[in-house]
Amino acid sequence: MNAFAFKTAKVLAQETEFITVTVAGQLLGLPIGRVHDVFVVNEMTKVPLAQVEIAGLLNLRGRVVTAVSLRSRLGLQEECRVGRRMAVGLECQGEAYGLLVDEVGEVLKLKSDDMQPNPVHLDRRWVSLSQGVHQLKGELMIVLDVDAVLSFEAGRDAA
Amino acid sequence: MSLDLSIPVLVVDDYQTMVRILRNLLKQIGFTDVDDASDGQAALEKLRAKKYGLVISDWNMAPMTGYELLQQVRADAELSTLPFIMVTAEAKTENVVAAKKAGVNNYIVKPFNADTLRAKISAVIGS
Repeated sequence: MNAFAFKTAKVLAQETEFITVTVAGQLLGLPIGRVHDVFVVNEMTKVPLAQVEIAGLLNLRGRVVTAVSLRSRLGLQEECRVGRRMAVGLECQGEAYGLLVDEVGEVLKLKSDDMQPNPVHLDRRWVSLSQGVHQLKGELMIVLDVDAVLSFEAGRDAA
Repeated sequence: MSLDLSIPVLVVDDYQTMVRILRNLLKQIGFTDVDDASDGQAALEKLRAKKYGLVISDWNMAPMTGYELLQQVRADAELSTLPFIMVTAEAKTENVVAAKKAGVNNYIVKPFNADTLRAKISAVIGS
């Protein structure tokens, strides 16, 4: 491997792509390796007595996908939204989830070395769902820990 | 079922975020030669310039839809047998029937995951 190729490989190895989403105006990033789809939620079935984070179930041709509200996971009030809802398709321990977000943004490729620890003043609930932050131009992107976001019981125990 | 992971794959979608997700999923499956096009016309140009082994196209695109792209591909003598998988957010029976009639090889309804993608690809090009 020549010097240029080695340098390029090193740079590529240190970069991570994030699918960006926004919730209540906050920019959040999901590692692209954990995301398998972005889709519009059309119909959702409410689940009686389900945890508040479970927005409902999506039955898609016999495949049940659990819709999880990222707003609720972050401790934010649900917004009365009319019209389409966007969801990010994720999997955790063999289960399919649709993470409901306000908007899905672009894909950002960021250097892993640039990720910083969570700010000390960040809400504890948010800290428990975050791997760290990226300081972008005039904006902070919180990197979500997908496993933590989809582990309700663990979050509840910790709360 | 074994997959030839060296075949060139063209991803067609006008939503760049979805293009990046699909490219990443194909990389996870093991495909090494993946290109993309952001609309049907650009896709046709790429398909005529390079020999691809598989096309994965979104249905809902503008100005040329995935369905129209499929029709043009099937009408082109050089491309008529090219394996073509359609991705769509809707599972409307009439859409599935129309795509089947136009010669689609397989159909993926969103949301999907890497396993579904791999299974659909295997059904089309696996040996």
